[in-house]
Amino acid sequence: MKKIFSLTLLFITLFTTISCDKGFDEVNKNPNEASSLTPDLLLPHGIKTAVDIYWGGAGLGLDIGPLYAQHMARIQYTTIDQYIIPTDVIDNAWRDFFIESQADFQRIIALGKIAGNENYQAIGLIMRAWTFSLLTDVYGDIPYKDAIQGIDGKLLPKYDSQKDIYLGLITDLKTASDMINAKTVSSTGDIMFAGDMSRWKKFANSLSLKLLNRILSKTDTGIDVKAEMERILKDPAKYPVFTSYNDCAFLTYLGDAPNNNPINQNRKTRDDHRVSLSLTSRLQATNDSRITIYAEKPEAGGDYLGIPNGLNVTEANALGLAKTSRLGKFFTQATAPAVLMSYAELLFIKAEAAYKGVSVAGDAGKLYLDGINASYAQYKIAPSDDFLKAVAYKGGADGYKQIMEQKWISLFGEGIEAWTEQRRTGIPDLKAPLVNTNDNVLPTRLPYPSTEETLNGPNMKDALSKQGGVNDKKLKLWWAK
Amino acid sequence: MRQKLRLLSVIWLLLSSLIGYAQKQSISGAIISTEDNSPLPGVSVQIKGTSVGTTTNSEGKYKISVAKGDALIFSFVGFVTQEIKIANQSEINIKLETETKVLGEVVVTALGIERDKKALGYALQAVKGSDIVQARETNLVNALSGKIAGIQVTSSNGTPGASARILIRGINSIGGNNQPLFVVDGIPIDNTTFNSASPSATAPNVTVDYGNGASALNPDDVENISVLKGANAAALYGSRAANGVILITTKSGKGTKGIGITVNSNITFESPFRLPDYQNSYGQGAGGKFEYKDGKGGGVNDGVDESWGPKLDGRLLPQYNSPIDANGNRIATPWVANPDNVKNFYETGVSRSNNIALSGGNDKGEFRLSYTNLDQKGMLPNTNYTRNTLALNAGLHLTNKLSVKAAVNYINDGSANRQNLLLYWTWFGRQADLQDLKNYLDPVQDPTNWAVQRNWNTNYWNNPYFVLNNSLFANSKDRIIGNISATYKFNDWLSLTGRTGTDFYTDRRTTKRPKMVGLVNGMYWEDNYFVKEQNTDFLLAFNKKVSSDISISANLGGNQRTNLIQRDYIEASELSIPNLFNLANSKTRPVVANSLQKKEVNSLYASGQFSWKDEVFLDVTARNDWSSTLPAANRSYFYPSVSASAIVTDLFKMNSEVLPYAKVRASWAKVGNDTDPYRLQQVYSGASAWGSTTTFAENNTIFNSALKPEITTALEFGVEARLWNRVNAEITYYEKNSSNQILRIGVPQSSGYLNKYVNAGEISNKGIEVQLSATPIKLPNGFRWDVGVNFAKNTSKVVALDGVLSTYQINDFSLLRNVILEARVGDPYGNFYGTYYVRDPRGNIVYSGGKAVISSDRKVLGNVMPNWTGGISNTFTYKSISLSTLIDIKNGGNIFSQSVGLSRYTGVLAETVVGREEGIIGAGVKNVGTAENPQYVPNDVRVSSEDYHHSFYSYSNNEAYIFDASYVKLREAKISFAIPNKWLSKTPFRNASFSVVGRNLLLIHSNVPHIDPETSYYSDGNVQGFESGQTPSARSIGFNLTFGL
Repeated sequence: MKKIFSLTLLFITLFTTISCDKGFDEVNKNPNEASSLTPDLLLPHGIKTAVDIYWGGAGLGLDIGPLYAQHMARIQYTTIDQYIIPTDVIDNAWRDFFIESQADFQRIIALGKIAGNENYQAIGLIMRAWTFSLLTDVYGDIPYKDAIQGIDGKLLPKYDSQKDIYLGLITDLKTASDMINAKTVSSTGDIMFAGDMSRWKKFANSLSLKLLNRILSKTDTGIDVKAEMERILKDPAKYPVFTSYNDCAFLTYLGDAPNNNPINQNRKTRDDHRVSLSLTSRLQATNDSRITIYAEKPEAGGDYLGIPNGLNVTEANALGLAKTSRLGKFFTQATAPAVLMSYAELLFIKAEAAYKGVSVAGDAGKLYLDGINASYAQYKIAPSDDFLKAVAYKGGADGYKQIMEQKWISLFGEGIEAWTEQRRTGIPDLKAPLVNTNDNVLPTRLPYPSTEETLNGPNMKDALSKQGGVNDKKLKLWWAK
Repeated sequence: MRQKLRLLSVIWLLLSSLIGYAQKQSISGAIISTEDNSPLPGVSVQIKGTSVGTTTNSEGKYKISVAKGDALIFSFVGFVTQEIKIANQSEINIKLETETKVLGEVVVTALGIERDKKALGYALQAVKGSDIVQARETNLVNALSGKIAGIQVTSSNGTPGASARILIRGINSIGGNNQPLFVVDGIPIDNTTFNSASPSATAPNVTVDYGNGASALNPDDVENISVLKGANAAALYGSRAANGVILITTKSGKGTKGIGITVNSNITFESPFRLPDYQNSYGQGAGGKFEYKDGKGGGVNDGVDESWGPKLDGRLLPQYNSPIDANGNRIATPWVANPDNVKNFYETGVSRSNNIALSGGNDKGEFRLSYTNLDQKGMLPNTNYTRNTLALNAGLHLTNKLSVKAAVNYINDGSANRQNLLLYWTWFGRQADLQDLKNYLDPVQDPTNWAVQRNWNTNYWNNPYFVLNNSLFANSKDRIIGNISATYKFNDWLSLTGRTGTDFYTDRRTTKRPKMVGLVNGMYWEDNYFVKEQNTDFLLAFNKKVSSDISISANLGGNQRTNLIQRDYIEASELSIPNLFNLANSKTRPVVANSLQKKEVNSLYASGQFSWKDEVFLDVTARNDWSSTLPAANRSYFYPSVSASAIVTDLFKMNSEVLPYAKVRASWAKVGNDTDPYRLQQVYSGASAWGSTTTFAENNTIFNSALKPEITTALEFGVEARLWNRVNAEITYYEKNSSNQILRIGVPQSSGYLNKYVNAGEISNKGIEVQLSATPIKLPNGFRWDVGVNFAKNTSKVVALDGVLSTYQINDFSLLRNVILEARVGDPYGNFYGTYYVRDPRGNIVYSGGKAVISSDRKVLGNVMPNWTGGISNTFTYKSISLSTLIDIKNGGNIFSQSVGLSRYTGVLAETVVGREEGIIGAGVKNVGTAENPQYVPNDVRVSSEDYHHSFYSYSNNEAYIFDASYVKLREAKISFAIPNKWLSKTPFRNASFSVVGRNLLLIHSNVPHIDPETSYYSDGNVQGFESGQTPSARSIGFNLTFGL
């Protein structure tokens, strides 16, 4: 018995003295991933994922924007064009914007602060503002002030009203523009502007004008929107904006997957989209030669043929894949740029502002014509005299309609923005397809995703009741009211 | 039994002592086995207290000279030693009982300690190796189904070498691993499944199942399996044992008479267990129209992969296989049904398994060497699985005190193609002649010189034969499981064992996907795993009878475990030169995943068993773990267990005919659990490069540097009884509570993150398990009927998550059709949450324009966990013939069947023929009021059958895809015939038997139409209850021949 006792003691002493967790800190150190890095390494991923979704990925840029703006229409799997939106389209855009892009931008701002480089902070702020603006334009009220701070313990972000978000973004963009200085940023990390901070500054102020213009007619903003626009327009030295297509905001894709244009990637295996009849009919009515850029002639021959939105299978089949116009080659090439905001768009914004009395913007009619020319210049073509005659500025209410309609045409590719502007102004006058599941209403928004419903339910429901509606596609957003 | 023997020997001693004087005399006799009355050669016959002795000859006979008053000791490995005092006998014939038979109630418990089952204070159920061998399941795990109460086995699909999942007593961990620990010969092995449901976004219709870790074990080498069900039984295995332990003892040479050779040969034929009931009246197309031109929309609806086309009435239509005229136009051919197209696509699967084992033993040692070859050809053309197992098990008694043992298993398994076709006959034109598609290449090549496929549809689908022959998912895995141990016996009550064991493998997976629909130039990837688990332990065992009534045994041990997982994944997502499958041929910078995961756990443990009069038993255990995965402050955690049992019938001297044996038992246990490596420190994740620029991204997960160990507490009560010596009953009630669970809990994505590691959650499981076995008939002529019944019911409830979040989403990736599987506070674990039919207040489905209206929000639609499970076995034995059946029952639990729901949408199933000509008025109501003030009247809007099915079974409608997965299955039927020894006496064979085994023979009852309710799309993890048209499970019939030399 004594023997056992001493043996037991021996083992216990042995084990306790040789420490049972020696070197465990080292064992559990992740050898696979970085625990610290510089902000330039996060920039490509943040920018690329956001721009991908916007331009042609995650269902949002590929379908929701261009289909509901009626720039494009579906010839196969047409249900989404009849407003039956697959859950993953709703869920994935939200998810990827927030966790793939915004989380990166938020971290870039923080790392920029730590590194004492204001320019990284500014880039983070600008990209974050641009992404937030897309999110609120698509979903309505969203978490903004509480958002993307899960790492700091804010796990159940409250929703902010679209108004508060817009005001916040305008402030963020001003802050960003003001903080840009001469410090350098990595030209390889900045995949958009290759480290050219002057272009970031122009983007910040142009984007600011876009957001201000969107709420120019709103009377409940609590700020002087017109004065804010004038702040930028009056002082191009301090608040520079785009001056040509070459200095506007676009991302040029590299060509090889996965860094090719997302529409190019989609077309490698799918052939579901055609140019919408709503667009081709308007282009053809005015002899607008941009049709040669936006559309292809049908494979089977004949003139450009757009198709109506929301076709049923039989109708789609009768039209046929080969007998209708695919998207123009310019947009389906691997290196096609994704335009975040174009110079033409800025000119149309100025035109609208001028029309609405922001006189410092210039002359509405001239800006309208400049906008059309800039849109043509973007594709290195020139408008014909016939066309210019057909779209000559009429002024007054008709002129406003012309500005918005030409803006809608120039926004081809930027489907979400075109959809947003159509929802805000009702121009052009688009009709819901005959077959639709939204009570003949053009979709006003995307419903909130299932994950918010299950994980952030009370805040989401609170937001819905504040917006006065249910989680559908008929709830009018604040800037459209 | 042991006591009886002891009593007998005492009587012998008493008798022999009466006869006093010594005188030399010759004694002879024969020694036979009680098992089969066969002579036992090589038995040691020794005079007690001397070194004088002899052994029996090949006929089991011996002769020895002894003095009166001597005692003879008859001993043989594997048999119970007998001692006989010599009186006046001249012939002593002995029947030696095999040890296993004597110790029929002896079971293997934690740490490999063999114990009398009656002394256990917790539930343990054992399966004999012969049952496993005869069941002939390639995957050992499947063979346990229906045999053990309270376990739930789900095999993923019918591809060769597919994985299976096993749950013991429900779910313990909300977000972590719920698979039991597999222990082979005392050493834990790796049972990880590394399957990728979709290895790449560009391959949505491919799921490849590489099997689970334990699926590589060879049933032929299994001696027995003990299932330790609760945390109670497993406290000594620590962390991973909270989900139960499957203890596998492999065969050794123990008990072999001399040198023995066993040969087992098996051939099994497999066919699909259940195929959907298809319609054969209408073919491909939409709106009743179809004409093929290019299969991608060039003709009339020829890009459509649904069956809403023209009636299959023999009309002439251009089809994909119609001849082409001089102008390149297709000459219309008759539009006819091919009712057996799908059925005939599947081939008869054939598995051949051959095992040869050589074993031997004597009192100095024993060994067994076994080789098994398994060659399986799948039901899908050009799929296969092979496995070669070499097992060596040897033990040597070096001295009286020191013995050593070693066991090594070398397993090489793999496949040239383990592809699984998904939903191929769901999105389908029913008329398609699949046999004709065997000619999968079009004579015309494309301008770039690459072959063009012939197919019924070229818009979305590849020719299935082309895919199976050209898109190849291969792997080859080399694995070694081995251990070596040494035991030193200080004396007859104290011994020390040291042991070290390892389980490691390299799995090399290569995947070639050619240029085809959905893939531009083809792709290629290599995925290499190196997985290793190493255990080193010692055990000091003490076992002593302190007084005539009290005996004590105690164990003190320590273990050091290291786990390592290394993965190198390189993918050429787009090839430069099509179909040149080499990573260097990647058109873009290859996608790389390269990781190393390491974990160490050190443990100290002790156990004590006290027994009083062999009637009352008390067990205590204690263990402390140190895990590298937890932060310094929390990485050491202690957990104890205690259990007690009493043999009521002995204690109260009941001596009843009705109730000869009754036992009660109770136990309480706590098990601590750690987590996976690297969950403490926040890191960035690697992102795909932008051109030549390496990039990173903010991690989607929030890490947590303050994690604490998980704790499971289990309480268990049981009663065991024998009635009239004919019926055995065992009933167990248990309660388990798991708290402090380490969850990767989903957070609202608006927080910028997908999930966060937290210590949260409490989940409770309560359940009852009943095992009954009875022998209703036992006739003197040898006829015998045995019945066994298993029943288990488990209810789980999510008690708490954490203060902030009230819903835990079990899936952290998007599930089929975005349905959600969740654990919500107050609800059972595993609720389906999804969209549903909008209904009026009376429950009628609401239609709008004749189409069913689907909700935009979600609700609970069902639960994946079953209400109860059970099994009934019947065995009829007459002399050497035995017939047995096993019925497996699952009640409740839902399944999300994508193939049933979608096949109704696409019009391929029999029930979709309804209303094709006249249209359908959906049964339900329509709203003629307003949205605010609805007024429901019966729906009277007639729509086409196509529109009706498209809305009613719309894929955004989750409710339509959920079914009750209850089933009653004839799991197994087996006839075996052991050739009587008298027939073999003149042959070199020691024994021979032949059996015919059928597996998954009949679906006696199912509430799911068209599919086998027991299947799983996601092969591992906690996301269960999904089906997506994967390879159907197999019905198999096998012929098995075993003989020994």
